[in-house]
Amino acid sequence: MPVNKSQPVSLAHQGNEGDRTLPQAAFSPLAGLRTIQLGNGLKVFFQVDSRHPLVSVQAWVRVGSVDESNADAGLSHVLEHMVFKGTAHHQAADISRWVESLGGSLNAETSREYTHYYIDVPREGAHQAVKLMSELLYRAALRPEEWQRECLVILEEIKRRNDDPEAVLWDLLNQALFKEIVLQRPVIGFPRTVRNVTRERLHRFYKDHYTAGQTVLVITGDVDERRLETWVRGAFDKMPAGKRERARTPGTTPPAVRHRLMHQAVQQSYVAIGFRTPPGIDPDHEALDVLAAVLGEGRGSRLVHTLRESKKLVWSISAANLTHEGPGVFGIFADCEAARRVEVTRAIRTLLRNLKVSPATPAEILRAKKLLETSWFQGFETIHGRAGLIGSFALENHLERLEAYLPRLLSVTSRQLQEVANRYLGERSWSSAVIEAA
Amino acid sequence: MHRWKLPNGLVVLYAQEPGVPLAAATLLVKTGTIHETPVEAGLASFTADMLLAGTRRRSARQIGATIESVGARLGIQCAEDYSDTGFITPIEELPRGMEVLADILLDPIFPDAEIRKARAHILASLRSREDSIFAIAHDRWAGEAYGEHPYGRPVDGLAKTVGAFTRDHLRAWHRGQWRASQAILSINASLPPATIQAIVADRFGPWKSATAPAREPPKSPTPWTGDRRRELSSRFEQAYVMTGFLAPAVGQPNCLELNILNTVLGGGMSSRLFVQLREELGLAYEVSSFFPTRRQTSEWVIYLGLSPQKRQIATERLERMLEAVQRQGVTAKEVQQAKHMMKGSFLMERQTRRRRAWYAAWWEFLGLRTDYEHTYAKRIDSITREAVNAVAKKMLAQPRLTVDVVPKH
Repeated sequence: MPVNKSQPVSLAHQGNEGDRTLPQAAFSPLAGLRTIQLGNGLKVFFQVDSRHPLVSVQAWVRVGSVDESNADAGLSHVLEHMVFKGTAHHQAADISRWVESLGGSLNAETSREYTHYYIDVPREGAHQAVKLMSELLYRAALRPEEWQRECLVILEEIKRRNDDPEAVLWDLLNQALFKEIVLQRPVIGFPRTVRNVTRERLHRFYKDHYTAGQTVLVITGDVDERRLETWVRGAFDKMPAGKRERARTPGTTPPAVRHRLMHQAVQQSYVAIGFRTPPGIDPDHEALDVLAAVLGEGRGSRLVHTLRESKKLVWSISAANLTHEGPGVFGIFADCEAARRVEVTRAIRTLLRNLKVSPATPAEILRAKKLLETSWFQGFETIHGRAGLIGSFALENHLERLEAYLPRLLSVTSRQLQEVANRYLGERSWSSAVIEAA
Repeated sequence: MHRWKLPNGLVVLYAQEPGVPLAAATLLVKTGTIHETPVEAGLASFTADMLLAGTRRRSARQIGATIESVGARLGIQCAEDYSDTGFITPIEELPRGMEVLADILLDPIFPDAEIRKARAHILASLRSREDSIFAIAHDRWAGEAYGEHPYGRPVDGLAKTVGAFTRDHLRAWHRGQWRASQAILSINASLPPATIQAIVADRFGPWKSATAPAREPPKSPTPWTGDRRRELSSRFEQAYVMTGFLAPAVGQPNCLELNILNTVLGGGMSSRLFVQLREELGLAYEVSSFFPTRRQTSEWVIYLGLSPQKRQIATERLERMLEAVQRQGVTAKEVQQAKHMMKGSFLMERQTRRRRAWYAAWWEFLGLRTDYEHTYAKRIDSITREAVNAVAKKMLAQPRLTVDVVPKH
């Protein structure tokens, strides 16, 4: 584990409340990280950690809904489902049962810009997990009869998602924020586009996108590096090469409609306020993360304190800085009684405007940083979390940013917060979405 | 693992482990629902909630603000046998985190306005049990199986008892039960033990030990004779079948065997009941079972969520399957697979400092040795298929209680 042993500390200053802290310990997310690249272009990252006899095998494929045409909306997600429905060597049910019978877990997620697979198992299963991952990535059977069955499952998933106000609210917010259809669409697609998926289309998409040059493999845990390398080469050497350039979507703000309202059979109102932010690589994001925590994380945050605890206007409220390879979203999300909705929006507007006259205090900034620091380290506590963080940064070729994240975050100043607030959260950039009862 | 005791009786466990620069603490108090008399139903949980509602030095809001300022969050849970609280924080903030933890444990003041808020919250949560078909079924099952025994009531209590608690009740419960001599403090960090010892002595030294002897839990419930079946109607469109037995308490013989049997039958997607009833026959959409670790007589319960039309046939199938298990037992392969699964999940579960601190406290509470972690796999492996089947035979021969939840119309 990449941690410096902590220094012995003295508690000499016990009497003074302000001094009652211990020295900070150093930590490097990349310590012991080894990279190899196979002949076909596959990038592989290993990080050995022998504290627990477990391994996490994760693959990040650079394909998501931004890579789909409008007619194909949802195809990446369909593919993610179908990959688990059997490979050249395994039946669908065997795959999940094998992992479960080891006490492990496997799953996947599809987003705008990537599809992420993971298999977490005790170390005895490491070799098998590597082989299984390779089969998922380039030997999925994609059988037509399985697609017939799975299509219904996905249509059901879309239906269920449409019943979830928070998911629909997110779609609405993206419609209010962006002009490009590709950024407005839900990752899961639409019933008509999902129904139109053919086996041929699916196969083509798999061949085009699931290539070695488009994929990052990360393995963390208790495993011998030399053997691991042999296993990885054995399993992935034959993965087809290939790399695609992704069309850039700038994320233009729509000229006119910046507010979306939808009526649904809901008991309370759901409100989202959003602002467009630059791509994830932009150096402003650490400050935006701190700003999101100052505004909307925990009871001590401005939004929670003012709108929920003091004015009792909302049931819940939060803020988040959501980054992507392309344009990101700074969002504020609340739910409240229907009658309070207008007042809630007004209160949020006032609160953001007030940032100018009463910038975040040192105590507010410190609170935000400490909360973010805890969650950041918690992300590295499990082999699963670590492989996930390494993979998501490696996929975009920004591993150095992973190393720099915490020091940059901790050095954010009040002035920087002020600057990013002015730059991104201005009145003119405001977009919003609301779901409420008709 | 370092273990020591303060003069006030507090047991402290410290695991000095490398890893991310965070420190986690769990405080477990040996008090829960099990120590309540019937009129006190819900008092343990109510009191636990109120510890965050204000101390002599801090209002509820200030408690929240201080704990967040060290990058932590603090929650308190009450369970049947114990209550626990804890936090995780960047390592340099451990002393301040411990100061807040000690403050809420030693000095709560139970402000009336906060009592009213908490009561409304608890009553709402009791009402919301009606929104969960599982809760409806299990509340009835446990009520029938345990009778007056506290395991027969929800941890949150009952509307009529919760409505009657005053500040005096809460204070008395805190004074009698939340005592150093009743508590275990478990810490996981990378600091030298001496540092931890100093922080703990400083913060928890002043905690008072109990003046009265600890309350004895009530007598174990008496098993019923003959199979029982109860039907109740609900507003849900689905049906639910919950069936089970009283089962051994922790430390009694047969616990591990029953854990394995429970995993073979109802543990996950590869379990026998799930595969047959759901995957092969499509009779139920939810199939599972549980056997919680309890200080007193536990329960072993199997449940199915299904459409009302399939209830009859699913029930018949389930009966046949349980008979088959009683007669022929489970296979060597099933036992092997269950063992793998249990050992694997045991490892997966215990990677974070927060979970590791919690488990250390939990094992101490259960009276298990501090090397339990390292002997777990060996213990599991030492159980033979024959032993599992002997327990299956014995358990399944006991009288069973079944609750059917069916739609109103």
